[in-house]
Amino acid sequence: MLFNSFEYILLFLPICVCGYFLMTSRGLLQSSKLWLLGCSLFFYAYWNIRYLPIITGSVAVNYLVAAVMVRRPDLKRPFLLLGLLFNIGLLGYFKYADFFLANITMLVGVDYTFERMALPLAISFFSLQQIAFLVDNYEGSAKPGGFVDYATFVTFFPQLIAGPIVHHREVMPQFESDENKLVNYDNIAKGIAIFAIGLFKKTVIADTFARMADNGFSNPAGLSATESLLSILSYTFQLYYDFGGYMDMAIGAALIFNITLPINFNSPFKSANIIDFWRRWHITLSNFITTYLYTPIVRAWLPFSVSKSLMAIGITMLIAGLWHGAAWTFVLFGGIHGTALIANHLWRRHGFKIPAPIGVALTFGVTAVSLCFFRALSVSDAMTMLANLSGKNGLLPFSFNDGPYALLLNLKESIIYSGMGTFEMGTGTLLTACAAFWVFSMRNTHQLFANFKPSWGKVLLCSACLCVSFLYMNSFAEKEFLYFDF
Amino acid sequence: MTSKRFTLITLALTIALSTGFVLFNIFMDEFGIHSNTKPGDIKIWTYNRASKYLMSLNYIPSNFKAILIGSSSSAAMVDTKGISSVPTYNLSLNGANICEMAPAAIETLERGNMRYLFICLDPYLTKNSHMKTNELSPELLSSSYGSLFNIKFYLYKSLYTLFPEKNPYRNSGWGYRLAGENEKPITQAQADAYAAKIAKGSQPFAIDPQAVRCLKEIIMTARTEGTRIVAYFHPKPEVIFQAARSQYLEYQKEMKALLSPEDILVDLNDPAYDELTGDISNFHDTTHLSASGGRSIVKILNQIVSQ
Repeated sequence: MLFNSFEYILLFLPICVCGYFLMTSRGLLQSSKLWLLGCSLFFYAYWNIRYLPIITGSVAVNYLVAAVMVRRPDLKRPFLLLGLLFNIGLLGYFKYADFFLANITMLVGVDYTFERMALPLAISFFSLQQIAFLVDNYEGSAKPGGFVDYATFVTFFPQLIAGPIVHHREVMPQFESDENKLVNYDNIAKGIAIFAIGLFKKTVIADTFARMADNGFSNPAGLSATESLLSILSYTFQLYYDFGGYMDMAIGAALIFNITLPINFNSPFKSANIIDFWRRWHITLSNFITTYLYTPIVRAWLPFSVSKSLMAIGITMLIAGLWHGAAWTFVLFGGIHGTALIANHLWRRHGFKIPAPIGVALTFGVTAVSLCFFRALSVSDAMTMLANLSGKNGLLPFSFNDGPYALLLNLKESIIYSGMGTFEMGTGTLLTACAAFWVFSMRNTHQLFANFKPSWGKVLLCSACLCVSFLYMNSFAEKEFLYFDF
Repeated sequence: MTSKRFTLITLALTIALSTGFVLFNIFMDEFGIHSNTKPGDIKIWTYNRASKYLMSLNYIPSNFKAILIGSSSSAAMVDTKGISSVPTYNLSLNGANICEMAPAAIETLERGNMRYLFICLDPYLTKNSHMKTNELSPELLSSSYGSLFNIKFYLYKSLYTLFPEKNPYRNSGWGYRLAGENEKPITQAQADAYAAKIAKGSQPFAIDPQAVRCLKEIIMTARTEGTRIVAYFHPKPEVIFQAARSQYLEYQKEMKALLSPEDILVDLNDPAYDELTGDISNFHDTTHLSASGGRSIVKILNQIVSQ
């Protein structure tokens, strides 16, 4: 089920919230958790019921492993390794088997491909979350508790599909808190406001940019420099608003249940360098890869040295790139970020300083180039897209040849059309400029609602966001979230 | 303002605005889905494809006894109001292949009691089978209750109410489109030049097998519903037809195979119709008809029906 679907907004979420608080208000605490677990599994299975045994199986195995680690301290280490092997194996089988086999096939010339189920939804997220739990459990900072508690922690629907990746210690105390078992209108109001903004970002902005990005990336060969640039920027903003919107909706929906999820997206394009970028973009993933990937690599290479640390960054980012998708384009995405991070660390170490606006522009540029690989169907498509920027197919799109009138016509058509039809480059320029203005100069949702005080202005803002989003949602465009694929 | 008040007002306002817009659209019933209408009552303001699809759900089956289907070849200038004995709606869609045409045609045939299905056969109709827009799908009905589609529709309706001469569908609730009325019609010299150009290429017209399946589906639906099929090969300026005669004949052979003896098939490029194809003033361009060309088609269809 999608957050930006009528069945979720008008039926699933209200029923789930009402049922939950009906039970908590009557003291049926275990039932309320079971209800939430049932709702979360329904939410997951609604997509494709065939995936349900995979997530339930994964939860059960991880719970058993964690339980053994608690009861038999002498078996902690082998069971941790067993648990890690299980999660990585599951991920490897469903997500990476095809990629590796295709590459082996290419190298050896023997066809090793085989038929199996498509990538189960959210497998990357619930696998990482459970890996983190097992490691925390090993280090003594997390205990599994009851099975329902554990399963609720893993499957809690607002964060299940695309994060944020949460720790057991962050979420479970909130479910246990007596205060959180009561209806809290402050949280509901703030949750609705954050959800409304997120829905608007996704349905109105991201999906609008998606059409333009799709047009460009579907056939990069003949694009002019401007068209390529706008396609790359469109995808950059699409991903920004898509992921940012999803996170707002996840955080808003969880807040209605009195659960505060960690901020995962904090105006990343305002970063003045790439180190700062990864502290603002997919924050919980960055924390995960730092804690559970980078740190162990550095520890394994003790004694510490700068060159080893930089090499660990490179390896970590390549793996992080591959986590996003089983393709060389994603490996290159990780490689670009790894290289940029290494350069940034060296830069910082040598005391170089650049003015903040140049730093912001440079960081944005590197990110946009990396996202070109992230979006392209193949490495060669991405290279073609970037090569087009040189102007080898001309500087201006063909539609500009008809002069300013055609540009205005495209603009008018596309603004009205944006939820339904094709996009023209004239509109792209305008929308990209607007998006850039919002991204670089406005406060983000969390800053905007940090000290949330209900007012008539916010009522109108939220209602307008919801109503306009509903209009877009009912305009039968493609609606999936990009991070669902990872 | 308290948080509780904020929550209740925000939800109430959102529900009220959304429901209000849906009810407004149902009340306006711009596509004749919910109310009883008369032929010609419902006009097209924008999105001709989506509008005609929605009209096929009630307005056309309730008010008409025949439909004309095809691409822009028959959408342009063929005012089916002139087919006096059978109220006929011109369901042809601009730029459409037969698979894009199929949803509206099948809805109309199944929901109504159609006596005739007129098919304008032109190579363009079966050249490909993909959907060039995402307008025509069952989701369109729910979309018509409240979406950007409605916003654009009302904007265009307001605009065309103020400037009626800008609306290419202004003269008809029968679905035909005015084509290029402010542009210069094709000249004999231009037709000759075009004929010379296409004579150089001897490739046969592409016929997409999926498009043929779509056409068969429409024909089968018509037969199941007891609708008489009247097909005609869209007329071309004579010089252009002669320049690609073998390709046209090959195409005609393929299409003829889809029809049965009880169907009526008219070849408007036959010498019997020289009066139509030999006069360049019957054409707006190399494919589309001018007003006089459109009138000739209506006259011919009228004759067929009265026979």
